[in-house]
Parts: sequence; C-alpha cells; structure tokens
Amino acid sequence: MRTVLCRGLLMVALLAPAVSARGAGTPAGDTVTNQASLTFEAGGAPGSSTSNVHVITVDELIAVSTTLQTIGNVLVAPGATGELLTFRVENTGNGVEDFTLAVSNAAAGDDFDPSLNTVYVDTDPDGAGPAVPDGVFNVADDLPYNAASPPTLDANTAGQEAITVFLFNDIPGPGPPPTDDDLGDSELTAESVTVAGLAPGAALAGAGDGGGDAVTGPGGPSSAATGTYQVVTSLVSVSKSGTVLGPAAPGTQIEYSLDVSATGSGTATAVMIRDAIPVGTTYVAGSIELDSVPLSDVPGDGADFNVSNPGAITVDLGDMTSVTPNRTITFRVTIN
Amino acid sequence: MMIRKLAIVALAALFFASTAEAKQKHVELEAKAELEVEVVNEDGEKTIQRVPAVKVMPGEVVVYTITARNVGEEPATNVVITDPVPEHMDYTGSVTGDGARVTFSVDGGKTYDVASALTVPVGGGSKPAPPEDYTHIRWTFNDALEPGSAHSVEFRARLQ
Repeated sequence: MRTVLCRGLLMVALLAPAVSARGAGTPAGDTVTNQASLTFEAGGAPGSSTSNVHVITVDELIAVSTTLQTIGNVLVAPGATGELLTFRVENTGNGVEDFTLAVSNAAAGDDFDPSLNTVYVDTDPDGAGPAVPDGVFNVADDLPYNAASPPTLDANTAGQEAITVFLFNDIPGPGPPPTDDDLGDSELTAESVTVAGLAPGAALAGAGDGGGDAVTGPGGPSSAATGTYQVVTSLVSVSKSGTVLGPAAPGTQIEYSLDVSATGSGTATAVMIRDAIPVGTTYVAGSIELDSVPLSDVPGDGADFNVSNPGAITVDLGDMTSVTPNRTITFRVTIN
Repeated sequence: MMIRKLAIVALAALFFASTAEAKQKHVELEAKAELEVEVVNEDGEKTIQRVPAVKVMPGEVVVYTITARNVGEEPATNVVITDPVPEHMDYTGSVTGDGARVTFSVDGGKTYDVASALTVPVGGGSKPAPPEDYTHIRWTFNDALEPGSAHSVEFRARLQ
C-alpha cells in the first residue's frame, strides 16, 4: 500500500507550477542552499553577520512523453504480420525512473483493430561493449519488452533519458474486412512505476530520488501516442471478348481480347495473365500481342504459349496500380 | 605551573572569542524559505498560505525572507543585507524591502546596480539583464536599525 499525499496540508493544492518545456530541471535529490550576509556599523565599529543556512531538497517530478516516430500511416495489406510502428519514450522529469509499456489496439473510432504481435525496446547490446541504442530495429540486438524489468530512463543523463520502442502488430484478414483504405489505430502508453495511477500533483512522501517526494507532473503519470495502419488492396480485373473473323466454321480464326485493369489504393505486384486455349480450337502460332506489340511464343519477352502453363498463353504484366493504363492482350485461335 | 599557565591562556582566548561573538551578534540575521499554497476552507473559500519549503519540485516558486534584528543596545547604521540567488534558482523579478535601496548583481557579486541599469552582453553589444540572470540581491537601508527592531526583506525564486 502506498500513502498518497497532497503536498503540504490536507486540502492544499499546489499553485500551478510552471514546469519548463525542456523537462528535466534540477536533478531530484539535489539540495538548494541559501545563506544571507549582513554588514552594519554600531558604536562606530563595523560588524557583520551571516544567517542560518537554509536547505531545500529537490523533489522528483515525474513526467513522461511518448511520441510516434513513424511518419504518416503505415500502409499494410490485409493479413500482414509484424507491421512496425516506432515510438520514442522520454523521461521528462528530473530523476531516474522505470516506465512500463502497454499497448491498446481496441480503441473505438477506427475501422479495424490490429492485433499485438511483439514489442521490442531499442537496446542494441553489441556483445562485449555497452548497449548502444541506435533508434533502428535490429532483431539480433534489440530486446523484447519485459514487463518484469521495464526500461529505466535517467532524465539527468544525456542519451539515457529516452528509448525507442518498436511495436509490431498483425493486420486482420485477408478480408474483407478490412477493406481498402480502412484505418486501424494502435496506442502505446508509457507509465511511471513509482506514481502509476496517481493524479497530476499527487505526491508520495520520500519516494523521490535522493529522499524528496515523488510528485506526479501536470501531465499525469503516463503518456500515450497512437500510430495508424492503413489498408491498401488492389483488385485486378480482366474482361475477355472474342471476335470470329469469318463464318463460324472449321478453319475460321477467332481473335480473343483480354482487357486488364487494376483498382484500389495498393499495388498489384507481378501480375501474370493466363488464358487456356478453348477446347476445339488450335492456337495460331505467333499471334500474341500486348497493346498491339507482337510477342513471341517462347519465354524471354514476357509472354509464351504452352511453356509456363500447358495449353495456355501466359503474359507477364509486372506491377499494376489504379493509375497504370489498362493493358490489352490479344491472341488468335483456329476453329478445328 | 605549566598547567596553570596554559589554563590562563585558554581563558583569555575564550574571553576574546566571546567579545568578538557579541559584536557579530549585534545584529542577527535569519533566513527562511516558504512555499505559497492555496488552502480551501470549509466554505470553499480559497486563501494563500505559506508553508516552510523543505522539499521543492522544479518549477515551484520559493519565497525567501531574510530578517535582520538588532539584538544589541546601540543603533546599527549602514545596514546592508546581501543574498546570493541560490544555485538552481531563477530570481523571478519579485522583491520587497521597505526602507531599503535594492540593487542587483549580474556578475557573481562583484558589482551592484539598480535593475534598470543592468545589462548582459549579447552579440557585440548588450541588452537589459533578465531577472533570471541576476546572481545576487542587496538591500541597503537608509535609516538606522534601532535596538529591538527588525528589517525584513523578501525575494522570490523559481527552482529550475
């Protein structure tokens, strides 16, 4: 059990302290002394005096700032796993404090909920030497977050006041849901171990570094930041038409046309179009064209017949997005 | 014999020490520090009260009060109180001192001047010194401090 005090007397509220934006401030546990001096004359002789020495102990002000480092929404595909959001957690108080990390993906107001995969803390212990955080995720060096041993941040030592947190979530699907452009939020909260759950201004007597009180800063004991995943999908559509070049009788050719288009916000990668030659017809050798440019029947120029897929033509269209112009594939067959 | 001689020397030393002490203590100086807190009474009325500043957090303003009290039997003249702004503290610009001329130092107590005359270097020139640059505060009293009476002065400083 902790005994929570309000500073000074009961029913006493601190007059809003102006905590500087640069955080830190005088280190917790430091002492601030004051001694005045005096000179005078009495009975024609000079005299001097000094006052008592007044000593103040600096309380530990506990404050934390969590900020999202990832810029913009993270574009994800439905069903993707281990999608990264990067956060920075900084001790903006004036002491040495442990901070627990918690992830919330269930908040309302978004279209879907990511599911937590793992949380890593930037440590980069490179074996022999000291840990050298570098802000970049490295699966070989960075350590999974361990709730039993939360990160310790020293507000008074440059380089040790903040850490980078790597949050990995999985995306539901493949959908729908989620569908194209759906948004899913993921929130990281860092909270002081010492004053967890306390209101701003609440103090724990003697719990601060160096024997002062531990005082919850104006921002409370915790700080949260939210990152957002945005689903991108791509749908490739093919419409096929055929034109009989003459009377519908054996020996007559049919020209098939495949019109290929992509929709959605994402990119369809390595689009391969395969179309089987209809039963009762025979492929006309050398008849494949892409956007009116003839292609060969053997692999090498992006199209083939009866090689990649038996009894079918195959055309490689590469990556396509909604802004890619439609592609038109034509080929001919002869009615048997 | 040797022992007695030593004892006399020791007594003499004690006598001189206490005389010097008496001179020093002609005017006593007391320093205290307080925090101002808002107190809400049963009727919901808010008042400002001062409580001793023992533990302070960054950003809080401390009220320092220095009291010079004449405990001697003669008036004290040319009374001057000097107080360095404590380390880790910024003077807020708030000072009181009835009957005293208040001057400040921005050079660690080497020189003193009134607030309006203080400058600090900036670039190739100088600018008016902001209160947080003050290093010392000095109160120079015009009138004598009579036996049994006291002067109290105050200043406020914010913990960095």
